[in-house]
Amino acid sequence: MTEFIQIIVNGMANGALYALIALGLTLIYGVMNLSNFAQGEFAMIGAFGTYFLMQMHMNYMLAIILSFIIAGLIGFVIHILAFHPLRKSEPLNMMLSSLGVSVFLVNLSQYLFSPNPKVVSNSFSEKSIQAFGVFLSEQRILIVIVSLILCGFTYWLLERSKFGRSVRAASLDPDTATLYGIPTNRIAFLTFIFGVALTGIAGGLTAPIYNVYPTMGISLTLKAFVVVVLGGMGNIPGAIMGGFIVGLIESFSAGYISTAFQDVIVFSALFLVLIIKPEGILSKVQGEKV
Amino acid sequence: MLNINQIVSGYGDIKVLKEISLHVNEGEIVGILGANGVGKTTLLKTISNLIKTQEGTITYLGKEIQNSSPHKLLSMGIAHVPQGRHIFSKMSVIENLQISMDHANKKSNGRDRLSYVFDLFPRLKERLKQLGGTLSGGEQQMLAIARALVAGPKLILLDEPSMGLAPLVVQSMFETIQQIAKDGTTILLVEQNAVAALEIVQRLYVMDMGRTVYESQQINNQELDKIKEVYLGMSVS
Amino acid sequence: MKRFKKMFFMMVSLLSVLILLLAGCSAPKGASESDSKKDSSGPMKIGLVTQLSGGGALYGNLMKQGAQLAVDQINAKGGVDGRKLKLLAEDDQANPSESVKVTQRMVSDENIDAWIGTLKSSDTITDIGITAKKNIPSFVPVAVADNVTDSGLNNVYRNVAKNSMQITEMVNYILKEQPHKKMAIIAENTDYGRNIVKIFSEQFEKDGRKITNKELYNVGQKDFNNQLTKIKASKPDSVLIAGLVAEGALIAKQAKQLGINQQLYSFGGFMGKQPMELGGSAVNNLIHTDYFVPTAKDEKTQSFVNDFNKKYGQIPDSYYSAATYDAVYLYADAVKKAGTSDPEKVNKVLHELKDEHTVMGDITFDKNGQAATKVWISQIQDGKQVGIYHAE
Repeated sequence: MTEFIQIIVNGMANGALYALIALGLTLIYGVMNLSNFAQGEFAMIGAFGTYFLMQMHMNYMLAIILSFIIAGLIGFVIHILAFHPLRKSEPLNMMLSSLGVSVFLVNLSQYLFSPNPKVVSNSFSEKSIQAFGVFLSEQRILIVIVSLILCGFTYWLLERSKFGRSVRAASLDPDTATLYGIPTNRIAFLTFIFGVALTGIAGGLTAPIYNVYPTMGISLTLKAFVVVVLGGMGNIPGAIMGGFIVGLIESFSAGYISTAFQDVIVFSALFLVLIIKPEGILSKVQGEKV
Repeated sequence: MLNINQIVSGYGDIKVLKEISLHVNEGEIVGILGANGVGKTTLLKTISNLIKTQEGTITYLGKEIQNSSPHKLLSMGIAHVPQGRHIFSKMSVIENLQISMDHANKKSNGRDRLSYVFDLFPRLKERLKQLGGTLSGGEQQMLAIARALVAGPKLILLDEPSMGLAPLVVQSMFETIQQIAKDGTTILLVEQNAVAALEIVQRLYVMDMGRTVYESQQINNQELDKIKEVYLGMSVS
Repeated sequence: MKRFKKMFFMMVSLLSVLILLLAGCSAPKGASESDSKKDSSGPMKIGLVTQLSGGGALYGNLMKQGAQLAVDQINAKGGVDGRKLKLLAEDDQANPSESVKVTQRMVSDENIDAWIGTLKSSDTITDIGITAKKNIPSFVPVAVADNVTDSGLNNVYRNVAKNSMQITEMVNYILKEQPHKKMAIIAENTDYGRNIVKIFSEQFEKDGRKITNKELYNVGQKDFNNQLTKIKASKPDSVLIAGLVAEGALIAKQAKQLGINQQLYSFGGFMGKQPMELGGSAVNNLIHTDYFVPTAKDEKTQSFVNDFNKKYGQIPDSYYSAATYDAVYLYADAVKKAGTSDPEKVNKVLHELKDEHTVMGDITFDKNGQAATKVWISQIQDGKQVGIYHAE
């Protein structure tokens, strides 16, 4: 029983993180039609930002908030250089450009910071809380809390605010959105920056448990794509639910089938979804594309 | 109010509009008729700046607008109801209207405009929370026009409002359009359904091959028959 | 006429390609013959191929420092039979194709007399395929995969224990010195990890002890909660990490956070300073195999540590420098005994070595060129590596 609860707790804790990264990815896809393969690299940027700010003796919480801003700023520059010029061409070109951005950012940071992992430790990273034999580290609790807050905020922003209405309209029908006063280019810009900044903060959050190194983003991108496809490309509630579902599939398949096959099972689930319901499992429940 | 002077536009090297000129006076319903593919929709998109004007000028209330950003035209008072309605299908009726009100000219009172469109289209008021995509064709057209009206425009560009609608629905739709014009909004109407359009327009242009080939000043029965026969290929019995 | 012209051009270009090819083949051959004759009076060249840029550069440079120290010491004493040694160290970026290229260039352009390399077992295997063609004595001081010395080559010498030896040593140590009877294994999902799982479980369970879990993870994975939760549920009294330090340190940390406070064991990946840097207090008390302990009370070790410290201002804390240092000495001594740098004769001497005393232990190469060197058992105690056991 303890193991069962621990497996659920593990799955939810990881799921919260996946949801946060997938959120940024799906937002960007929805508005720009861009499958951003460089998404995970912004987690890496956020993690390095947090690491260097903490080297300068900054408080951890302040550092992750700043890492949100740093990832956003770098996202701004990258959008101008790599994506804005391609906004009118085929989506494939932007996707290839994002692959280039990914390779560029990984290599640049390997050159600047060396590939060796760096350690970030804060007051949460060593401690766990336990109840009835179930353990959860304080850092993971922080991740879950921040992720839920940001998912909630993003949901509110999109569903209830004027900005969110503009974002959704621009993603549904850019031409008509333009006719009704929405500056679609600026919206794409802001969405990209917000989307990568969310991932940046996710990087800052994971730094204390996963360490910081240049290639850390690659596996996160992959996971985020699984989540986004599962939840439906461009579907915000889908990304949030999808994150938790992937986290739980992973922990249950590791716990009750085999740890060696945990990734195999996750990707099999992905293939199943692609074959049976390519629009994503959550498309019926919450049919809203960003 | 709107003066189009010798504009050329199109897609890249393909010129769809070839030095077309026309004008719309305040308070009018002006019709642009013509067969499929003569450039009527391109004309409206060029006015809205979704398609770049390559040559010529478009003057609106004395100001040249051919180079302004397309998203600024709504707040200047030009609302474009695109062909095929293009409502935001996965957003609710009220959200569709809010989008427009969010970006309308701040001077117009949103609440008044909202109750005005609900008076015109009481059906929409019953379906506020419903997703736009789940409405019937007629309701979607109502929403498309309502979305334009809540911005409090001075000029509405209407592209094929009758498309895909049943004859009875078309009739009531055109009555509403007439009402809107009476209430003080100028209308530039593009239509293929000439019979219906001719009922309500005060002046009209006939387009062919990217140019106006006929312009009427005052429409009387005699002229009507001529237009029908010569330009629109309808037999007059 | 036109057709003739075309034919003519084709013939000419074909011919020129042929000439270029022939020139390419013959020129170095001639050069190498004259070089090797001329070389018998010049310095002996030792080629070192390892990673000197990027991620593993830290370890590659440790190898280079060890080799350079040995070369300098030997030259200071007048060299070998009046001939000096010269170290040619080149970067292979830990990239297989680059490694082959560098080795090929050393063999055909530089006419090296001995070869030392690399950081990676897979690169080493392809490189020694090249040196074998000219029978160049080739030393493998760092790469430990079993199959490096499985290829039946007559010119390859590994003066460090191979992987299966460290596994056996670890099992023997636990059986002899530790009470643990129920062990869980968390292993990386590679040949390295799976091999450890197989060999370790066989030997450990022979004694009636039990392996409770065999959990696998992928290299590059960051989250091990799922594996560790499963391990925790089966209540082992100790946990073996069969992986390298990048993941191993995270495993140790996450185990503590899940309330797993059992004794941790691991292998050579936990040598040096990195485990403490990456794992902090979570790796404290972890016991692992080691190939080199700088504090060992051995004369050879102490003089090496002192000389290294004098030259580079730091204590060599892992085997990279020591084993490469030894490799240079092994070669130089063999040349001295053979009285020539002729590869045939040097190889013969190396194969006949018996208990040659080096920093890494007493070296006797078996017919595959594998030496049974010391394997230490070390423990991380308060942020320091301490050698705690060494089988006699």
